[in-house]
Amino acid sequence: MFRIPPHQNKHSQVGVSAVEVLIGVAIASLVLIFAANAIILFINSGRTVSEKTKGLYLAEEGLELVRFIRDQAWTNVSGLSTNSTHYLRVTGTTVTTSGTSEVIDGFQRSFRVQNVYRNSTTDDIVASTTGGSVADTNSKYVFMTVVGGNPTTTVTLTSVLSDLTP
Amino acid sequence: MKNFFSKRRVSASGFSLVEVLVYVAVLVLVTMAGVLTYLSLSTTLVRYETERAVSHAAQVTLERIVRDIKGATTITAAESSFGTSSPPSLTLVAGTTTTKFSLSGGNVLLTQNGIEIGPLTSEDVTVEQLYFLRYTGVSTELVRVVLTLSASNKAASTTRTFFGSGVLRGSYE
Repeated sequence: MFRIPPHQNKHSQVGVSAVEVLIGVAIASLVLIFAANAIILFINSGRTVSEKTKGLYLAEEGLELVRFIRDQAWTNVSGLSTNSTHYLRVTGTTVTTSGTSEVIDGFQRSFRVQNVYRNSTTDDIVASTTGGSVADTNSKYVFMTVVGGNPTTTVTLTSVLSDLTP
Repeated sequence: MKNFFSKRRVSASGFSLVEVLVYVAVLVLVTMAGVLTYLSLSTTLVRYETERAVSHAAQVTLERIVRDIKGATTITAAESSFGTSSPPSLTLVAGTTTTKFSLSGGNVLLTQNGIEIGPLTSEDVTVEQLYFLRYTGVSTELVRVVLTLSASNKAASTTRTFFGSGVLRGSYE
């Protein structure tokens, strides 16, 4: 729209029109902004890693705490209802399971317990739907889940706990 | 009106006022976008450095302490202090090796068989808080570690608390 007709000003042909400049600047800006956002996203992953690390330690600790609870009495774990959510309660002197939500430093930690099924002949762990599988009363799956942080991260760790009572 | 335009076009060899205004506006917008992007990038980068330092120090320190707790047979109570009231220290015995974790000059210090091995945390990270909790069960013992680390530089500061627990495997009778 600002281009001066060639027959009127030949000098303008060697330069660029306003529209061309605008398009050029717009494309350059878009590339710059997208590149910067990509870099910021990449760097922000450092924060995600930090939150994930924290969540991972809480989940690992959770499994260790359930292991300790198991050591007090196998029924502490075997008596927990399967497929419902349980929580830990850690005070300065005791570690117990609880029905009340446990929030540590912005992270919620919970766990579920499931039956372990074994092949009746080989004792190998198998799916509950497998033929010949029998529920093992001396073993339980524990699924420890930690959710929280900013950005929100979820960590789930699984372990099989067994009755170690001689 | 017609005369004005035709006269101006013939004599125009530079830019019109509208063109200059548009150029300046575009230039200002692009400069602002560039400056804002640079500021955002530098802030993010600076924050990333502190995040990475804290995360790395936590991994190294907690990994070592929890691994040693799990590998230990007993705790030397006389050379350990639990809770937040006194300076933290944890002395573990595994076979013939005695390992002690304590706090010294804002760093977690590792001592083995009386010989100071060195700090577990790096210089760019400060240990804000470290304490141990001891839980004695029917046949086993559990130690909980609570570690708060911070790192800061000119423009950013990161503080995080990490938790770790270990059952002394050697305490199984």
